[in-house]
Amino acid sequence: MIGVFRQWLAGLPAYLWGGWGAIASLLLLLAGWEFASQWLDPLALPDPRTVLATLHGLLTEGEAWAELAITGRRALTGFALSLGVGSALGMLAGLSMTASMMARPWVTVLVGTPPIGWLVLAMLWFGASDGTPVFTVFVACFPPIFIGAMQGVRTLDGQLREMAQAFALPPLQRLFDLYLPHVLSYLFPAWITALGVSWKVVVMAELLATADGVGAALAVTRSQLDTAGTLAWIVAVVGALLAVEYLLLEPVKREVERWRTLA
Amino acid sequence: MAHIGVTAPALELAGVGHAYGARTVLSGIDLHLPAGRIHALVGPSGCGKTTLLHLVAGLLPLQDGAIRNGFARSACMFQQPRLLPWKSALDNIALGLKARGVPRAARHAQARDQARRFGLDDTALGQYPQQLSGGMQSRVALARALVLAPDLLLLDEAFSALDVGLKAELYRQLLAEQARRPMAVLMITHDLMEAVRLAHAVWVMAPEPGRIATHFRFDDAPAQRSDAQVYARTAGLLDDATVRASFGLDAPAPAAPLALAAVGGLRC
Ligand SMILES: Nc1ncnc2c1ncn2[C@@H]1O[C@H](COP(=O)(O)OP(=O)(O)OP(=O)(O)O)[C@@H](O)[C@H]1O
Ligand SMILES: [Mg+2]
Repeated sequence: MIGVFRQWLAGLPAYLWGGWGAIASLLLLLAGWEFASQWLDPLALPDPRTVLATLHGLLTEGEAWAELAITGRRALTGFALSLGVGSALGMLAGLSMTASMMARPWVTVLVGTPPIGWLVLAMLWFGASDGTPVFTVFVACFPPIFIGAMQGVRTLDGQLREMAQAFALPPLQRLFDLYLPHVLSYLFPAWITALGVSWKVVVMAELLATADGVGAALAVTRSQLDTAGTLAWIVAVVGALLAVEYLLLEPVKREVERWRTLA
Repeated sequence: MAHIGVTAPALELAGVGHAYGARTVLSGIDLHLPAGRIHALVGPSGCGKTTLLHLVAGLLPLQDGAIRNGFARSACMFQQPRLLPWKSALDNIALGLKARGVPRAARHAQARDQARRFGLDDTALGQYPQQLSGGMQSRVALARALVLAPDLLLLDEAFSALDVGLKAELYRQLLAEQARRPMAVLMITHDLMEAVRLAHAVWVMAPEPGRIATHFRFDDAPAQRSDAQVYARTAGLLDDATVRASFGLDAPAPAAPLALAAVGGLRC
């Protein structure tokens, strides 16, 4: 584990350098925004500089960090719960043909239920506490993670499973040496999808259910018809999501899947 | 399952049969393999050799007949390398030792030792299986089985991906290992000469359904056999009417069939 962390640190500069392409394409998006804002009423779409200035103001006044921290805590708590429970249950379900067939319709029901429906239920159950956004995020993140884990286990090569049986691998070794390395290549994309979902859903939940966090701040900017402020918050949330995904999940994924790229 | 008798342990199959769905692939297999002996199993492709080996290894449920495996530790090498793609060659070799709870340093030392004897250097040991050649992969798979020091070694075409030099070297290694301690080996091969060179007995299978057509004993020590002897016995085996029928070769044997008995082979 320490080795993985050290390699993650060592690989970071090269990895960031390799990110220039992504940054360039983001700048292109910014240019498109700037272009569009010249033709539109600033109340509908303020130009990016105004928005970034607003964001800068929010950040230097310190208000934004506090709200982002609250939102981040809720999103990541719900995401982490989903990651743990979804991965574990999905892998267990994948071990048994019957369990996977039974689980499918349940997951379809989960996917089909709109997050707003869960949010209303959560508000009834948890009120204005942290429980409401965390629960909503948990439920929204669960299906992709569960399905990823289940498919990962189901697609493990039967020949390798036989080999593990022939060499009498004990259950824990079977988990860490056989199942997890294979399942991770299904889990990582699922985790990244779920992470995106978690940030979207947490803001929505906060907007309707809590008095603090980015969502609540958005409710305020909306009532004040402050488009620049709204966009500033959106940029802040998207930036936080990108940071978590590209600085944490993606490098860890590269390290864990090194055997795949070397082949 | 364990069969503790007064005699040395053995592997015993009586009337073993197997069907995949409605298709019978094995029927009425009787086989006896005592400790410290090498037995070869030959037969045409698809006659059920791998199935039989998997039954012995306990990887398939036994449907018919009885298998008594009196050996305490068996190890198995599959027809495909079946290495874990996310583990280095060294960790793959050490896999079974890890399963037995051998500490990391010790199992790596043992695995490295075994690998060296098979001509795998440290570079190869640090690589992932996909980076190794086919022959290296099968040596890793063989090392993974042998490093466990089994009393019963099951080999499914262990040597088919190797060049002649490596084959000769690994034959020597296998016989040396077998001289050190009484290890029983059941080896599937498509190479009659390999069977005749290494084995104390050759079981010949016939297809549809897979069954034992006949078997031959060679009582001399495999390590002492000369090339000439091996050629003569292989030729003798190939001249045998039952063997020819099993492999679907043209029935008429050559005008003056070589008597296998004359070169030390006993039909049982
Ligand atoms: N899992 C399976 N399901 C259904 N049929 C199978 C399965 N495995 C093998 N068979 C069939 O059983 C027969 C025997 O297969 P097996 O692999 O034991 O042959 P073999 O003697 O090892 O052949 P080869 O020398 O080519 O390796 C074959 O006809 C094959 O099609
Ligand atoms: Mg086979």
